[in-house]
Amino acid sequence: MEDKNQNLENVTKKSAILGLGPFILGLTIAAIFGWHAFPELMTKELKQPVAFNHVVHIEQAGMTCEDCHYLRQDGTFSGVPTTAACAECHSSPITENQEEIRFIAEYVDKGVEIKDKWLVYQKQPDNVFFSHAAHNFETCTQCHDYLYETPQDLCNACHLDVASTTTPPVYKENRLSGYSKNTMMMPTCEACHANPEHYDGITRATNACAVCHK
Amino acid sequence: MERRGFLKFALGGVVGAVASPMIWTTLYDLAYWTQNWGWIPRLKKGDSEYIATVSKICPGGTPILVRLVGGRVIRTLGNPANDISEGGLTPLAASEGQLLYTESRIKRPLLRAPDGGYRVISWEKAEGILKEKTRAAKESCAFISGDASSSLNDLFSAFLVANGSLDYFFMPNEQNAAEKAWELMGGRGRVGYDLEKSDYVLSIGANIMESWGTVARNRKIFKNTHPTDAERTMTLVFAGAMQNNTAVVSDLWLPTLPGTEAILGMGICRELVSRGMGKSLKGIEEFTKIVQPYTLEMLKLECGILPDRFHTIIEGLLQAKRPLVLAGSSMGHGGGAAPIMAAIAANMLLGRLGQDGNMIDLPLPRKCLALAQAYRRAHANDLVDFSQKIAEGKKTAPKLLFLYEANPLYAWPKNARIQECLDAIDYKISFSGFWDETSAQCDLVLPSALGLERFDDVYTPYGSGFENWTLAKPVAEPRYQARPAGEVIIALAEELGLNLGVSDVPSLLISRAKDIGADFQEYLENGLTYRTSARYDNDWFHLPSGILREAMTSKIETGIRLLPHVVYGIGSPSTGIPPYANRIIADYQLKQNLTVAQMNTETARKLDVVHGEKVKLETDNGSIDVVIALFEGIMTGVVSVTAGLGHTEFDRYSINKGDNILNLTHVHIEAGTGLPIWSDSGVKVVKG
Repeated sequence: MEDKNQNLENVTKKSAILGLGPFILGLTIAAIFGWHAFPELMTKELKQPVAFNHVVHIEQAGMTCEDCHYLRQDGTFSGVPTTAACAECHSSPITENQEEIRFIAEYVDKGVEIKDKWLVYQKQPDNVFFSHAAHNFETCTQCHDYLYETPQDLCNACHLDVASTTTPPVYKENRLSGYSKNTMMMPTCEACHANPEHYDGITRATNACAVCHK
Repeated sequence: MERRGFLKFALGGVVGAVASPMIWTTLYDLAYWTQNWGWIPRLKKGDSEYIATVSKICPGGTPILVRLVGGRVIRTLGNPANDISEGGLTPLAASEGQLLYTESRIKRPLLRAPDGGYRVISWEKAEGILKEKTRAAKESCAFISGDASSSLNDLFSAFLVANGSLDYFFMPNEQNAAEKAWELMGGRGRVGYDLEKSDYVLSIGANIMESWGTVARNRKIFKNTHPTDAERTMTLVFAGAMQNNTAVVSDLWLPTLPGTEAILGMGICRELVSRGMGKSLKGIEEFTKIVQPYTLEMLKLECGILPDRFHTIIEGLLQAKRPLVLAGSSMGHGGGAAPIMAAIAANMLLGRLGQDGNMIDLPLPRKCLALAQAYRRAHANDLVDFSQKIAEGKKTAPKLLFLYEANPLYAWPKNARIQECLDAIDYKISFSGFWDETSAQCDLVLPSALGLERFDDVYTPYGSGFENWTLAKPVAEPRYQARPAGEVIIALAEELGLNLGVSDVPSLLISRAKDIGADFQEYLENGLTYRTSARYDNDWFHLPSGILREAMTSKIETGIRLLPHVVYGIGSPSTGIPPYANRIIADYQLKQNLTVAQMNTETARKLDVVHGEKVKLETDNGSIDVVIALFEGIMTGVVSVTAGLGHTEFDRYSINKGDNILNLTHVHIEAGTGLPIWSDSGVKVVKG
């Protein structure tokens, strides 16, 4: 009688494990698809129009970030330099670099605006108003000086760290939205804006809609 | 797989999907995807550019910077580089960029059809009609200009003269009354106000910080003379019935009933004479007799002044090194010449007229075109007189009327009889940027390029302290099918074979620049204001006698006084209410869609009305519906109503917003000067 009961118990356990099999299989396939395959399927990889080398410009030409990326007097931000700004040095080739020669031939000589072609990794929709003037190093480091030792650290909080790249990172465009994979989403904004410590004091940044959505 | 197994597999799949970021990131991507929908407005991006020019819709000629992004006008700002305003801006000038795109802009030439509606026509057809109607009308034509400070007036005036007519009129402005007063007292040029150098300014009725003269400049002067970290270098005193924007910042407020500005001015003169001032002036004996009735008791009775404050002001004027007395109406026009004559006389008694920090005799504008009417001749024409005579059948109506950025139907009281005058004119042509009340009654409506789309200028706007000239240049192509009215008139003159002596508008402006010594090219590039130090000497001035005595006999309203309150934020008769201004109209100006009538508690108690009560304000001229608001910064017996509301045309930002205060006021003629006055109306408050 005891043996019979033991056998019945083993059969029940075995069938329970076997019964979970389809569930686990479905979960595993969906998880792998959701974590790995789906993001790849949704992303289209694009190249920048010119293989701009930040390292060369900083280390060999002695340029600084602010030479191209700077706040204008009216508070607007110069993010991507214009063809005219590049042509201040590259009106004619100054190296034998094929990319420089191609850039001059295709953009400088033809008067094509590189700024219009450049793919902006953090491009936001028009309904989002982000002010670089408000998110400045002097303000943020009043409290977060341990996070941002240099202005570049602060830039890298949102932007890809391109200063150390010799070729621009691949631009990953979402096939559905058409925006960059690196475009900042609202939870990232809210990490600061929804934090009551930022509501007054030096930042005075609330989470009210019109703070960012004009 | 059996059914149960499949269900378990599907359930696992759902759990796996939920546990992965797939669904959540897709939701975010969907949110971003919605921003690609075609009907969502797109920003037109591009490089920022700032162009210095001048506001053509602000009567004070405020210098501005226009910001363009990608060549598109985005906004207007003050120009810190311009020493007239040092970056100051008026609400009207601030709205100039937005008004380029507003709904009420006239987009194409419109011809009124027999059924009263309008149909779109081509410019070629419109030019043909212009030619045909002008040729047929010959000398029977008139012109109303809504821009008193532009050199284009010489062009339009020359065109009219070439046709054989002298009927050139301006919209109501304080300039005409001031210059009449100036001329009557011996001024050879135009009156200027050297506020910069004055150390004591008494403004009688003129809301200098809001709507009188060169507002942005006035505010700059106040800012510079009233530093927050040092002693003030100028004392500003305001005499008026209400704590308006000038009163609240002034160093001393002298409450004075509306319509009694001239009496107060005469009372000041009497006090100065009694203290021995002006003994050596020509005509002082006669003038002393004229001012005798204006005793302190009379001022208390008629003006409601506080004697202590009055004496403080007299002491202030006598002790100041460079005092200035100026006068104006709270309406910005329609106040007559008497208050200004009294103010000029006070400055003469103080021995300051023509000196630094006082009223200056600025050069009379010379004509840019030989055919144009002389400045004083053109400004002496009285549209109210013209209109009333036509309405009464005492004068033959012209066959053709041109209106240039002018909206007389809205801007004049009913009994000026503009409507009857317009009805009597065979054909009316409006050059207007916006669909205003008068354009809506014209036979041909032509889209006029706005100030940011055309060449134009601002030449010594009223209230200036020196001769000055600022070039307005096109910062953008005219939108829709708008064309500069000046160029249309020049082309029309050529078609008609009239030689105006100018080939295009820039040539006209070059001649203006040359005449006053400015380098056109330099000011085209820098967008700044050219100024001269030219002025006439003051040997020709004399104290007023007969005309002032007559002017002072004009009827003074009794009972409840109506105080119109003009604010530039609510726009102008020719612009309507700018869309953005809807955000700055306060609930003490407009409550829902009702005009607000402000009065103090004592007045409300006397009238048996309460805060928030809906009543009617009535005069012999008409009535308007208002809602009562209590405000203790206003004199007892005075009801203040904001002007600029009650449009019936323009767009949704202007229509159905309160009533037009000019439906209440009525025109009467100032004795002696013959000028129309309408800013001193009495009013009844009717309940129910």
